[in-house]
Order: sequence, then structure tokens, then C-alpha cells
Amino acid sequence: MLLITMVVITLLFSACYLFLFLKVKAQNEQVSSLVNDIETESVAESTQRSTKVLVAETSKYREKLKEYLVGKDDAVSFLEFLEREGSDVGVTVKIESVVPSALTTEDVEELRLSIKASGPWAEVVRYVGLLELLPFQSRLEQLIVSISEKQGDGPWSVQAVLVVLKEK
Amino acid sequence: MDRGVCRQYSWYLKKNKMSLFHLPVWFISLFRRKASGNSRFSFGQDPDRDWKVLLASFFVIALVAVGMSIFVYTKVDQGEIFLVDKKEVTQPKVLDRFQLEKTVSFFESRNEDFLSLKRQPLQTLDPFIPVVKPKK
Repeated sequence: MLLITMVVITLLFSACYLFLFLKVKAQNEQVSSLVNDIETESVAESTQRSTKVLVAETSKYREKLKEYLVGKDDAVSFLEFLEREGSDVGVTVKIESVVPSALTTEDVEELRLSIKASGPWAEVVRYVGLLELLPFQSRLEQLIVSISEKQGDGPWSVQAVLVVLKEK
Repeated sequence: MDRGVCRQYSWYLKKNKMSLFHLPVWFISLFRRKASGNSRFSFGQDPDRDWKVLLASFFVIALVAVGMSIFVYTKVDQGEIFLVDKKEVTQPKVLDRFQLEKTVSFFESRNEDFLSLKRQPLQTLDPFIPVVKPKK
């Protein structure tokens, strides 16, 4: 009888012990989860703070960089700029086509311009140089230089494909 | 623990030249000592021995329980067990300041080259016009 009582008491205490153990485990896991959440939030907050500082510090650079992209509504003025630069150096510029290129993201897109310029050799070469050094995010993809017998705008003509980045 | 049992146990250890580390051996021997016939455990035949077995069993269980409790308490206190894995935080793509400065500087220098070319015409000869070289 005594033995059975002791066994029952032992079982009871074992159950209590197990219950407490599981309770401690659950509570500890909850605490650990909360600590992890706090750490994650703290990291996110510090990243956000440093990003804010970085954004403030780099605002002048970003503004400057924006100047080197063709603005959202500046496509026409950019084409006029190309023609004006051509006439300034003494070549006749004709924009034959403007089509959007493959690259399109949510902020920017590429425009593919087909340009024909004609005039004397030195001026044409100078204009090609200007196209290469345009203060915009642009690249010359194709360049065909030819000479014609006809004395129109000039003996030399250049057919260029210019790809330029434009804000959307 | 009963004083008589403790005395008997220490006498037993001394008699057999054993130390505390021999406790498990002694514990097992309690069960084996009086085994007879088919029954290895014979509770009820010798109450004194039965009590000793019970006390020893509970003593061992209590020791294990205390040991486990201390172990678990220490581990929980040091935060080494029952931990939840950390979630992987995806770091946002941070603006590279150095790259930005480099890019702006590249465009500034390109703009300077553009203006310089605009101001100064190129010294280049038309390849279509043959150049007359003086004879030596």
C-alpha cells in the first residue's frame, strides 16, 4: 500500500515536473521569439536611420545626376538640342526616327534615335565627337560615314544610332 | 535518508573498500543479492532490504532530478536552450555613395570635354581631298 502511494506520489510529482518543464520551455521560446523580434526591429530601425542620413547627404549628387538624364517631358527639347548643336558646328541634322528601346524599368526608359547629319568633313567629325560626349547617359550604337557626289548640305554625311536614357 | 541506512551504507563501502563512485554497483547488487528461483526481484521477503532498495531508488531519482533541474536552470539562465531561430532579415539595397560620386564625376568630366570640343574645332583633314606633299 505504501509502495503504491509512493509510486502515485512520484508519478504526480513527475507530471508536475513535466508540466513545469514544458511551461518553462514554452515561455522561454516566447521570450526568445520576442528578443529576436526586438533585434530585427532594431536592425531595421538603424538601417532606416542610416538610409535617411545617406539620402540627405547624397541629395545634391542625385539632383546633379538627374540633370544627365533626359527629363520626363524633355524629349522634344532634347531633339531640338541635338539639332541646335549640329547647326552650331555647321552640319545639317535630321532626326529620322525615335523609338523606345528594349530597356525599360519603372523609372527610366531608353530612346533609340536615328540621326542623319551632313556637312563638311571637319564639322561632321566634330558633331560625331559631340554626340559621343553628350552630357547625358547615352551611347552611340551605330555610325556609318559616307560621302556623296551630290553637293547638297555637304559632301560628307553620317548616319548614327544614339541610345539615350530618359526618365519615365 | 535514514541514519541507520547511511551508517550501513558507509560500513558497506568501507568493508568492500569502495568509494561514492561505486554507488551504482552497490545499487544493482541490492537487486541481485537475494535473487532466488525464477524471480530475480523478491520484494516482501526482507523488509529491511526492501526499504533500502526504495530509499536508494528515490535517492537516485532525486539526485537525477536535481541534476537535471540545475542543468536546465543554468541553460535557461544563460539563454542556451529553448531558443527560436532568428528570422533572416533581408537587407534593403543601400545606395552606394562612392559609386554615385564616381558617376557624377564621370558625367562632369564628360560635360567638360563636350564644352571643350564645342569651343575648339577639331584639326582634321578631309580624307577625300588629296594632300600635296613637297618633294624632297
